[in-house]
Amino acid sequence: MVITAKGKEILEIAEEPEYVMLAKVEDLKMDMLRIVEEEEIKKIRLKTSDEATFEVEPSILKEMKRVQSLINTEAIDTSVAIPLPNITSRNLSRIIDFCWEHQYNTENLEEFKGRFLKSLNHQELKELLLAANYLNIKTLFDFLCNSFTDLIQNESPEFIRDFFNILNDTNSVKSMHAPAFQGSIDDD
Amino acid sequence: MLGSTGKMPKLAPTGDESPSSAVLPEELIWEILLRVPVRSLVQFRCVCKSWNSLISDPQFAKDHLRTTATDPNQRLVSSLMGNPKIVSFSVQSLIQSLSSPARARRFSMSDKFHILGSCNGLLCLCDIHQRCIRLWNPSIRFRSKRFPTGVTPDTGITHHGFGYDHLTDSYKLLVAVEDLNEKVTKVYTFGENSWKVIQNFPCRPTRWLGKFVSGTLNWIAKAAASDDQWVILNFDLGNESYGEVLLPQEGDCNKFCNPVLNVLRGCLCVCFYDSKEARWVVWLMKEYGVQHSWTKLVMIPHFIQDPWIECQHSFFRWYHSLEPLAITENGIIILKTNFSKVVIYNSIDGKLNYLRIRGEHGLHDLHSYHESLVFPPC
Repeated sequence: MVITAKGKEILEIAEEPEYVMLAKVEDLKMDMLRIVEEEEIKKIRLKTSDEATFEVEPSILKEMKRVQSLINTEAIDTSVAIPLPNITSRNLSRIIDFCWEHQYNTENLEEFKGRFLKSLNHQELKELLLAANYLNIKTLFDFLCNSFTDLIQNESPEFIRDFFNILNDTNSVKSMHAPAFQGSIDDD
Repeated sequence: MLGSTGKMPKLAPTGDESPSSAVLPEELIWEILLRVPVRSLVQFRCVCKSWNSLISDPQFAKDHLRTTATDPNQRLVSSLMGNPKIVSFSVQSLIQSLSSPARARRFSMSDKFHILGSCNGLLCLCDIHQRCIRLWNPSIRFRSKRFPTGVTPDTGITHHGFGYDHLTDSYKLLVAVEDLNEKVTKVYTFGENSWKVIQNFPCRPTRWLGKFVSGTLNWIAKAAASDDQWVILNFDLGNESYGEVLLPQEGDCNKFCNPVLNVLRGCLCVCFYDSKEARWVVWLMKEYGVQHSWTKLVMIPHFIQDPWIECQHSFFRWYHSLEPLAITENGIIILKTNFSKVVIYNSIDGKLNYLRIRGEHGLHDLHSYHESLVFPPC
């Protein structure tokens, strides 16, 4: 079972001397045995709004504080998939990817984050933020909030209104607009 | 792993089924804006009414301050001697401006003010005759009313310090008002807008300005018991009482000359001249009040602070001091000499440079400044 991520690793080490490879494959088997054991006990299924079912391993699940507390407090029947009516399968797949990389990718995490961000348009970014907030995943939530900050911080109010779909209900724009760190401290 | 979990289902629709469906609720807008710099937030007040009230919310200002505590946009502010202006420099631009003189932002005033202290984006100002004080947040152009100090023409403010008391959620100013015969120490609480006379200092600190950190004001002073020992005198703004904090234990404190306190990376720091080793040493107290948390931060080889004075009066050497003003993550430290010159020392390559500041010869006092949205009720 379960090979993709580790499978890639096998391909990558195939060019190394045989003894190294064998040692690594041996390690890998041990790893997988351990993981398989864990999974058989704790693996949880999640069902998205579009009726897709995901099997999620415990270490990823731990990041999803909302699901975790559901499991802990309500003694949920783990043979039935937990419904997540607010999350699409596309977003859950992204979320699992992110949590996985955040846990296991120690070398190229920043690179991954860059790619992850590039693959999302503004709308998808918002959806993902809502999902991260709903599932209560701190790492992803902070990462997305910071990404939003980078996107908007040097933009004009007009851009912000477009970006967040906000209606301009201010009629005294000028009086509210005050450039920072200029001017005098005298009394009016 | 992900083969059977994340990547298994192929049900995801492609393209956006509802392009404008995701509207972020206010609590998420709040979370995003917490991370936006003050300068942008000031502009964003005119996005819409709800953003304006969010950004003007005192609770938002507090949360924002906490989130941006490790602010990379640190600034230094100073009033100018003989000139009714306050100038402000970004630390980043000071470091980058070694080749060309650093530029300042200037604020002009009709009256001349000195800066008594800087805390959470607020400057506590005092007019030149010391008759009144006021708070000013230049980032959001907030200024309080003027409050009388009670200083008369034959008295003057000596020791002072400005900080935040989280117990009462208020800003406080301590001043010692002295004339030849008498000394009165009192605390002003902004919001209550009243003075309260307190006990005088148990010893006499070497410098006027107390440094604010962890709810306390801190001065360096000779210990009451021994004239050779230095201690840190502190004043707790919460319970309004004095205490002592111990200096680094290592070595013989007698060999440390001219200690100066300041705050770096949110921690109290002290810079001594170690005459035995002929170098300056900066220590950082990582956990306030805990003596064994003192850590040696930077050592700076002896350099001549002012060649002219150094040649003429070797005796002046005893008065040399260095005040750390700011430090970057990559070990570049900005310090002020007691001749009001600013130097930049790079602890990686050991290079030391005098800072050139365009047209500003009379920097009166240099305070660290952190942009904020804070405007206390007063």
